[in-house]
Amino acid sequence: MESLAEFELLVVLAAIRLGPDNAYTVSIADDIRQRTGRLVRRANVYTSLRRLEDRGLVVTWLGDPQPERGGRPPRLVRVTPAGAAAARATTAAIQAMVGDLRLGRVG
Amino acid sequence: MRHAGRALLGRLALADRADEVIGDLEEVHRARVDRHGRSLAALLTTMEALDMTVALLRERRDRRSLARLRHSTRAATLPTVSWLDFKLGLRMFGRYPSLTTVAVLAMAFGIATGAGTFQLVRELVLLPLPYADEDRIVRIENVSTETTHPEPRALHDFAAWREQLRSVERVSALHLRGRTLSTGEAVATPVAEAAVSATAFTLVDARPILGRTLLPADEEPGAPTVVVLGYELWRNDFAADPDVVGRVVRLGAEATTVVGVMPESFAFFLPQREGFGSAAPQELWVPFRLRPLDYARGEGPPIAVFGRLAPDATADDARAELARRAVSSAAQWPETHARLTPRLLGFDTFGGGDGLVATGALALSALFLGLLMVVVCGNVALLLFARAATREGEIAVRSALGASRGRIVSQLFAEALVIAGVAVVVGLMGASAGLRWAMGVIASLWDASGQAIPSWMDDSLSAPTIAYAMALAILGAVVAGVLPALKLTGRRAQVNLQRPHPSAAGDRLARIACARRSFGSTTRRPR
Repeated sequence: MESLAEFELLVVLAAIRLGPDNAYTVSIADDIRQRTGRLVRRANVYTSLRRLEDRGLVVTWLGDPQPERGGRPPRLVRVTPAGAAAARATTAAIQAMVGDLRLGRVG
Repeated sequence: MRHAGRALLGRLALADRADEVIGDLEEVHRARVDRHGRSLAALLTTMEALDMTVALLRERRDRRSLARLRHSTRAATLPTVSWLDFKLGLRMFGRYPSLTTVAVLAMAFGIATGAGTFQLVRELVLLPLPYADEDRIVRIENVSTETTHPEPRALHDFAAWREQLRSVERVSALHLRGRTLSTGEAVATPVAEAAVSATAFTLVDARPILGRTLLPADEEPGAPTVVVLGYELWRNDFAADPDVVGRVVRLGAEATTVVGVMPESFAFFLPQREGFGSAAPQELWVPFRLRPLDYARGEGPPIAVFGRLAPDATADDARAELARRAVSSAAQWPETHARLTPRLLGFDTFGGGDGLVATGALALSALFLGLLMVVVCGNVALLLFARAATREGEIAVRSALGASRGRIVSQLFAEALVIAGVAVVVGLMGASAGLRWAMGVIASLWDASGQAIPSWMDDSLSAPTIAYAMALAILGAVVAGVLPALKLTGRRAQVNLQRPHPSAAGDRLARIACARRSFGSTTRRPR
């Protein structure tokens, strides 16, 4: 079973949430930023998506050209069943490790 | 700056990613302009373009490394054959002249037999016709369901096929008969006349060297009688007269005008007898004027019917259409057609069946000849094994110096390939000579039975035959080179390395092997 690094997990979860019609580099980066409050570098999203694609966890294709992109198409992303399974396994591992720990009291 | 960044990203991104990367940058920049104003947006976008540039450079580097790794892995696993191996193979001719010559001759015999027979079978079974789109030309014939023999008295059916068939166009007929030709000066000479539909000339795209071919108007009742001469007849009986067109000759009792001369070796290809094909003698062509009304159904002179598949039709479509027509014919004229079934055949094959049968026969013969080559090369392998056995020491040294088994096998394969290369030249020369002799015999046999050998059947080796001979040579090199090499590089080579040699060379060999083993044991990872 594939496992995902933390940032890869965020990318996959964002892609699942946005759906195959709306998930692409810019929207995924925006979604992660809005939900986590992190400063997300789009270059990292791009690199992560390439690696996920190489591993068969996502598939990508060119959408329709859009005027706000200077007439260029976005590369849309769909999470494959293997990608969804990897996301499930990674989140399950995190949840299992957290268990009933109360992290606020540590330190 | 934004434009420079865009251009840079376009160059750095992989070809299929440039639009995506630049589009992302454009989209984000426009959003930033709305939010932060032009100046700040330009600054932020420039920084992002630089960040993206670094990411793309990393991606390129990673992909190059991966490609190099894949290449080196493949290079390490596949033994290579270098030109030095071939050079060594040539040297073997000088070092072992008798043994190598015998190997070449044995392999050449196998190749000559294989290539010669392949060519002959191809010429006789899968006879290629010299017509454009020959695979679209089809024959139609009636076959008796009782005797399974063709029934060539099909004048009425020919008229119906020509009128009604949609999947076969330019349906033409040909009828052969003997006539006498009188040029006015000499006595009448017997000639082989072919009465043929005018459409047949367009069917095979035949063009005359003088005058014209036959026209549909020539077939009309009452039209002037005309004739198209064959090249040989024109040359022999008309002294190759360039003004022959327009001259009046007598065919039988009829005054006939010469309207054209066909090129050398032109003839309509016809099945001459069941299961075998030849170009029946055709010295001149006259319009096909046989009328169905002059004969009862199922009677009349024998004719051959052929046509071309319509552009959008397949042979199966034509067979289906013929079958439908046959049902209605059988119902309409049960006394003549109840026991007849129409058959559609490829015009390019005359094995008595369709092209698949002939191709199958050729494939089977090629397979059989390949097996013969394996047997011959099995004997050559023994010779090469004997030659290689005297080089056990050399092979052991190569092995001791680190040559893999695959490397040594590929070297011996290259040496066998050199022998096969020489053998293929000798073999093709032998095949060519044998073929000339065989075609001479076949031509005399056909002459004796009153048939002409098709003029496009020649005794030169065709490109497929040469390719087949090369394939046989490679097969021979595999059998004769790889098998002995595998035998010699098996356990025996290792035993040789470990065995104490009485000679100084043997001592050196043993020391190399020991050193290699020691080196290997210190560098090998523990398991």
